[in-house]
Amino acid sequence: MSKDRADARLGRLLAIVPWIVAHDGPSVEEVCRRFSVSERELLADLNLLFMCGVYPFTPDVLIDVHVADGRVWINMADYFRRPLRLNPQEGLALASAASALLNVPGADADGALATALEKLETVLGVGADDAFDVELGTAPSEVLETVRRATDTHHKVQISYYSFGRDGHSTRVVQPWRVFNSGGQWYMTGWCEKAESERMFRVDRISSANLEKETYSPPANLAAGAPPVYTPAPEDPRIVLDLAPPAHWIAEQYPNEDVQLRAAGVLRVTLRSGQRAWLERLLLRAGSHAIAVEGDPALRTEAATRVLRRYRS
Amino acid sequence: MDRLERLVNLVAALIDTNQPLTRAEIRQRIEGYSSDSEAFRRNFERDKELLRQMGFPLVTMAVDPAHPDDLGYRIPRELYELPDPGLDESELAALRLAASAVQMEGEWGQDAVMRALRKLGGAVTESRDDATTPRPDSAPAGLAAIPGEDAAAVAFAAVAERRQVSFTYRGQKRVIDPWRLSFHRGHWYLSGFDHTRGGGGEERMFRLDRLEGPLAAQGPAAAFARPSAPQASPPPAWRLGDEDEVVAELLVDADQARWARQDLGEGAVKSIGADGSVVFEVGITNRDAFRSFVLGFLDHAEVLGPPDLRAEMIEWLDAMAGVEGERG
Repeated sequence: MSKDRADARLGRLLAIVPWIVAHDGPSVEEVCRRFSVSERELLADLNLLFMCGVYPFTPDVLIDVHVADGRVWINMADYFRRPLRLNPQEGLALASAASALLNVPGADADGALATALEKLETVLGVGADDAFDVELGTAPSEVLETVRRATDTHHKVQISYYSFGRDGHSTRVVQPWRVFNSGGQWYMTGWCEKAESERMFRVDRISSANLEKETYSPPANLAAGAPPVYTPAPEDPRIVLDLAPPAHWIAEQYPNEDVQLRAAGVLRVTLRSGQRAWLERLLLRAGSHAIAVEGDPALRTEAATRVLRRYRS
Repeated sequence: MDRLERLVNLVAALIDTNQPLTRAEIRQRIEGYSSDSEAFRRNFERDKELLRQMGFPLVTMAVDPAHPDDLGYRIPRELYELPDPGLDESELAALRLAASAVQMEGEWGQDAVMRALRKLGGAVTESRDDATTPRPDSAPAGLAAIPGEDAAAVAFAAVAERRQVSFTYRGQKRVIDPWRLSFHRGHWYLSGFDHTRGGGGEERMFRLDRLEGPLAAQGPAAAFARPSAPQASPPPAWRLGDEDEVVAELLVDADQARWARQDLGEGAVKSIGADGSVVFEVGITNRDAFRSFVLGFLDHAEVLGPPDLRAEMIEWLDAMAGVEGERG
């Protein structure tokens, strides 16, 4: 038996046993449903438990497992009366999920999730002094609630949107497929009727959202899990920059095709972007710490000149 | 014999005993260990390693104070047992829903959340009838994703146990009393008291994905008291610096003012023009970061003052605009 398999089964068994001990003959079916385990797996584990116990392994100190009429009883396992404490990963993963969902605008601050999180944080030791907090991001709650409702009920939604990449405002009707949070930002994906193609929108850049009367049919096979947030298209123009250390954040923060360490701490990074305003911001912020090796040399000059006009007019 | 069976017996024996068990006792009492001493040693080491990885509080101590080299093992019940949080069925169902809606990314996140739910007593999945009725707490699977970083898990336990942590940050070794772990704008932050800073140390906040090397807990639990109100959220980039504070005056055009208000806060609004443009007053201690923030607005924002800050911005832009800018 491989190591992984043994630790996964041991963990599962030591979680299920205390629950069965504490309940008077629950049905096998309920145990399976509750612990997401198949009946075959459960019975195999129980069969094994049947032979376990403590020294000297005489019948009176063996764990007593009894399965009859679709129900299961366990006795003589006082040392397994409680499950093992949550380890740090388990505590973090579950507390994060609960805390994050509670942070979503529209969540019931006094509901079952809120009380569950409070109880969980207390046993985990982070219940006091504001010691643990998960915050998902700063989308305006009315916009977020509107686009989430539109996604749930398959209503089209009209949005006023500021495109960061093109530095322009527009109004468009979208069939919203999914609303999700990734990297601390809220996004909406869907079919944009204006662009006549699939688009992703940042919810915090939607200045207003209104439900339309019209509904739509979502595509049958929407991928589960968060889609990749930004992927440049292969036909987007290529830009190669040499970055001095103060501009190394560009290589860390943005998806790129290649990074090479050149002499004296200079990173040569290859990016693709078809979004002029996005690139202008990046170059203006990096200043002389980024030198364009490949790409339109006029881009940065023109952007800097345009901004300077404000200061010189 | 099945290794799982041996492990169950080992855990039972180590919990059931009040006295630490010696290796000889373990070998004799636990079914499934080989009579060959080399094979026993190897298997027992593997089992100990697996239990420690899973988080079992396996304590090693001298069996007899007169013979400190004679080691024994036990699992103290008070460290093993999960205190009952007293969750009712609706609370368990809410946690299960949360675990499906918010996914912890990375190698261990999904397994860890499943194990946590099982330890708390599992949860009955909603029947199909219930699922079609929208509830106030309803949330689709995959609503949000949060990175599952090893450092965040270690920090979580250290905050809970109030144990000191050490790590390297900006090339310096730090020793911190960890007060608070928070997830903010897509990153995990640890705040606490940095013993290695200044004269007697000071409160600091660290982005965990910027640590150089691992974060490790050290020393005993309950090593410090947490203040009741630690710093709530990471300061904006333009406050993350050691420069003397200057108050910048920033004009943002009407069509971008909404986002500037989100970032700078309502408290920073100084005046609103007839055209909807907004002037903000922002205290800054990091000029580079502030310039970066302002340039994010391209030509929709302008530093009005103080004069030296405005001059710096012009100089920065001039360097890029070249001759054309000089004329402009």
